[in-house]
Amino acid sequence: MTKDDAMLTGRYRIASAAAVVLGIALILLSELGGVHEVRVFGAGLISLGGIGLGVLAGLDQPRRAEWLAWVRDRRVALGMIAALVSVAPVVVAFAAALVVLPAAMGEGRSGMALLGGLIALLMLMASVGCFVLAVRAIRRAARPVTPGSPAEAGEEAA
Amino acid sequence: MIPTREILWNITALGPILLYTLMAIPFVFLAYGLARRVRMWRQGQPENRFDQLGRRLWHAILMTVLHGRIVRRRNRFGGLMHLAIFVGFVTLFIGTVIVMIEADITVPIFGVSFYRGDFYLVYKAVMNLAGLLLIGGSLAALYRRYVRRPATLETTGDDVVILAFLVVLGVQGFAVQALRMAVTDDPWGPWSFVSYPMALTLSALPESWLRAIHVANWYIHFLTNFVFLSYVAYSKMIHPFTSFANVLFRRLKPVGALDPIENIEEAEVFGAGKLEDFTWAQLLNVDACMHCGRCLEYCPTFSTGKPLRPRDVVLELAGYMADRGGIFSGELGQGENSARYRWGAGPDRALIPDVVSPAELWDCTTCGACMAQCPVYIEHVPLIVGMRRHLVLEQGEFPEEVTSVFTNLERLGSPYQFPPNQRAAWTKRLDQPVPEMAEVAARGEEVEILFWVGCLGSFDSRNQRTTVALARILQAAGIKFAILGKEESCTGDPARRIGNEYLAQMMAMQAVETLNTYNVKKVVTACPHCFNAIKNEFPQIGGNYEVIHHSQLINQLIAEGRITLDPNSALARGAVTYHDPCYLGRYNGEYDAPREALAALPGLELREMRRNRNTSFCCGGGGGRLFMEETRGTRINQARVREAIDTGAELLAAACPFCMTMFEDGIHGVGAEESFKVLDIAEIVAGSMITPNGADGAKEHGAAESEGAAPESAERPE
Amino acid sequence: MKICVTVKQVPDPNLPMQVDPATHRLVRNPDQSILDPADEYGVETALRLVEEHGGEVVVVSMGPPSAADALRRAMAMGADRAILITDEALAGSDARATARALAAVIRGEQPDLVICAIEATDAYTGMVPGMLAELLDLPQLTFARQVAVEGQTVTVHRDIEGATQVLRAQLPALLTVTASIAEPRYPSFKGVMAAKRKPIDERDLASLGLEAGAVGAAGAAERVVALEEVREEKQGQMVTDDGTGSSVEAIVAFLERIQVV
Repeated sequence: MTKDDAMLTGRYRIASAAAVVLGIALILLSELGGVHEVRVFGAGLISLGGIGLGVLAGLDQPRRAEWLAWVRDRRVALGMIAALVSVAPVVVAFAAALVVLPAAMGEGRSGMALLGGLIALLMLMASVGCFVLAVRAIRRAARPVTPGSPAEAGEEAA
Repeated sequence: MIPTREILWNITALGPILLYTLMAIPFVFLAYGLARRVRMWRQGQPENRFDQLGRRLWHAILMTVLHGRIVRRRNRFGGLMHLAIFVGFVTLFIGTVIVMIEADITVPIFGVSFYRGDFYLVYKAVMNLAGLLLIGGSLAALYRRYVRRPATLETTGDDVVILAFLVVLGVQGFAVQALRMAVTDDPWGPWSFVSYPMALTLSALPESWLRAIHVANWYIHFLTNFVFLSYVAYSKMIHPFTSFANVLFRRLKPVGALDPIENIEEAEVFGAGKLEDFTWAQLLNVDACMHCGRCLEYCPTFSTGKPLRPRDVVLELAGYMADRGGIFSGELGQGENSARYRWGAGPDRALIPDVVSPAELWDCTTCGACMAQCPVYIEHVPLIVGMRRHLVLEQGEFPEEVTSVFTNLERLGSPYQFPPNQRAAWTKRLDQPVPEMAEVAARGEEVEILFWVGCLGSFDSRNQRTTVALARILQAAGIKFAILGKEESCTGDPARRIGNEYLAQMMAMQAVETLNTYNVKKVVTACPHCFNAIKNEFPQIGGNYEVIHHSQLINQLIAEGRITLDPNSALARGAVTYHDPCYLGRYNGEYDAPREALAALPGLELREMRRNRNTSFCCGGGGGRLFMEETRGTRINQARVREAIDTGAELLAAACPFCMTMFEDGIHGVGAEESFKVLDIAEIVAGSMITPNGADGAKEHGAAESEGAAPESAERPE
Repeated sequence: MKICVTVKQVPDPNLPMQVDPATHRLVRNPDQSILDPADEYGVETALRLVEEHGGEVVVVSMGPPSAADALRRAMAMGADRAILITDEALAGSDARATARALAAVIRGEQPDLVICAIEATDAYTGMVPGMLAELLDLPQLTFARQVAVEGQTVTVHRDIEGATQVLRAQLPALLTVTASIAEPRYPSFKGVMAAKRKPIDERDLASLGLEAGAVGAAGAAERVVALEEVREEKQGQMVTDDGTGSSVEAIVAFLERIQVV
């Protein structure tokens, strides 16, 4: 990368970051100041700025990003936490629906309520099932990646 | 009361503030991951894939958005499952955008609201349906991975995590909607036909609880979305971007033509020995793979337990590229056999043999079954041939058996150790002489068509019978034709596919020079490999001819009544099955002519093998494999012969000398010589002809056959 | 170590042989001539020894200027440089004259090892290696099917009737190698390209210090007086099996005798 390129990249980076900051300011103005007309502009600036930052970093030489390594090393733990957090609220919702199902059926439209309970049960099963599968998959990632040679794998196949 | 809903119901100002400011994060992650890949692709060699942009764009939309190759007539499950997930996801995304337009643009800026009335009601129903498709499709995908488990599918952690994401995102959407409706109790609730019954059930809860659970679900729903979007570029979920790009920039040249190494005498790099030696489009190819495994379905090496699995070669390269590019790829887990192609195996490996093994490269028959199946137009064969070129041209490494093929090609113009002046030896078996072009030209005459015999047809004793049969058909039809005789030489097909591009170019140039000397316009050949080379590769070096395969010509002659077939032919009786040669079918799209020619014989009953037409299963002889030992896995030719026998047929109709050689060997291999035989289309037709002088075709065929055991037999060089 | 390999360009043995009836000599068409396949074994052996011990492989040939193609082939395989003895006066040389010319060049090179084929695939005299060893005063180890160099010693394995003989000699020495010594490599395209840039040192009689009378037709001690084509007669041999598979051995024995297996 030439010096000019580097300078240009530096400028784009500043512009992108500024877009994000300005966008956040507009969102605050919209939501706290009640000026909802600017919300879409704020959102647009944040998106464009984010894309700009990402693209500039992506096209740059690979560098040792310490925080990325930190994330990578903890990807199993982070994955587990994310899985738990993303599933917990729906589980609460559907479990609650099942708990109150008898009461709901007593309030007339019992057939519909029963159907609702059934749907909730299916969704609960799907959520819990996916959580279990995802956790298993993430835990498998804890196994170290072995750089097995292709020839060995070939032997296996043969 | 006009049906609508309050957008951001139950959400304080903190909601949109967090939603919009945090939106920067998935955008950064997505853009970073994509840009990182683009950066790697740009390290590839230049290649123009920006021509015919209109056609490219339409084709890309057809093949991705419209699922052109994703949903297949055979094996519908996977395709429809993908369609459900795709339609569900995209519809829900569009739905979100619609809400955004209402809440952020039309209402606050223009004071216009359209998110109400009939539109709103239909919107609700459509979104509920989309949610069902998303969840249903994703569950079907999990069912497929965990219960059906097709052999071609290998499940990684990434695959599971993505599907879990999709299911949970869909379920969250329904939960948020049901919780809101349980409080607001909209009279038009039933339009949301999935959430409505749940809302009724949930309404038994106290409102404060409902509001609390709703808030939690709302926040977690958008956060889950953001995490998912951030994950996209580091997992196979990048495929909507890479697949679209790959189809957009796919190779538009004939699939049967390999790209030559341009200006080979001056080139500095031959083939691909490093990642950067591939073209940028090939590197994009590698990143477009989403491990669907369709390339394995009709793959001869996968099906016979060989190390080569085209999917794995692509993924090995992809994992290596991710390592080299510093791209964290979200291959969370590992498949049972595929540790080597995962991200994290290290950037300091050598492309060959650490990333891709020579065994994988040499096993390929270049049959193209992988490319014909790939829904996103990944071209495996050029990748493999590119690496073979490196091994042959730079390292001088290839299976030992191939050495004699190369030296024979160099010195004698054919893979076999026969002198060129024996090329026309087979003509002695015919009653009428077959003129050579040199004589014809010396007499100042012209011929209708040049019969390109090919090396196998000239020297291999079994295939000489096909050659004789075809010549008899041409003579019976009164076609004025000639052969090149000793001036004919290999088209370069085996050398090119083995990776000896230099030798291949020399052979091709010599052949084109000979053809141009005689001003040849039209060529017929019984060899699909020669056919493909002459048709698709000779134009690269200034050889433009009309080429037809003998099955096409024979079919045409029958249709025009120029040859008469005996309906009671003893040879053409009973059940027959036809094997599509890869280089005729998949590479050149001719499936019907040979079948029609067989159908012209009423005594034959055509039975199809399970794998036919563009899903035909290779004989094992292409890509130079005919000349190599098959040391790994089980025998491809025997697998195909068994499949042919399983149709109940007693006769296998072939249309390619390579297939013929492989099947003769395969029939012996399975010990079916007594009950099963293979004949070329030309042999079947010639043996069933009623010739003008009243001679019985079958009898003559019998004579030709016994003559076929003539002493000059070509052996496979050791 | 430095190894000299003697090579020869011969008419492609797979193509029909043409003989000049007047001179009784083979018609040598440069387009249909190749590096003698028998010499490829020597080149391969030399390359493997140099890959193991380091050093240089020099290929030496005598022939018309077109014989440079055969030397290029050897260099494409990996030989470092080539010397071609070419002079009008050399035409018609017999084995002794050929050996004299080769010896003159090789003496100047001072190699540790000279490797020759057993015989050339055109005239099959098989006399040059022995004469060369004599002229150079080198020990000769013939018909080697395995060779190893350790320090200043060369060890070869050679097959004799019913046994394997192991011979050892001090370097420098001369070897003749059989086809079973090593599978010759196929030159990579890189090698072919590199060979175009490698030097071929052309020598004439004057530079070798040989007198015209010692070589060529003038210096030949032998004359070819007749050359008749062998009429090819196909002889079949019937092997009858008594049902026990006994024919298998007979067929294998036959194939071994005609050296197919």
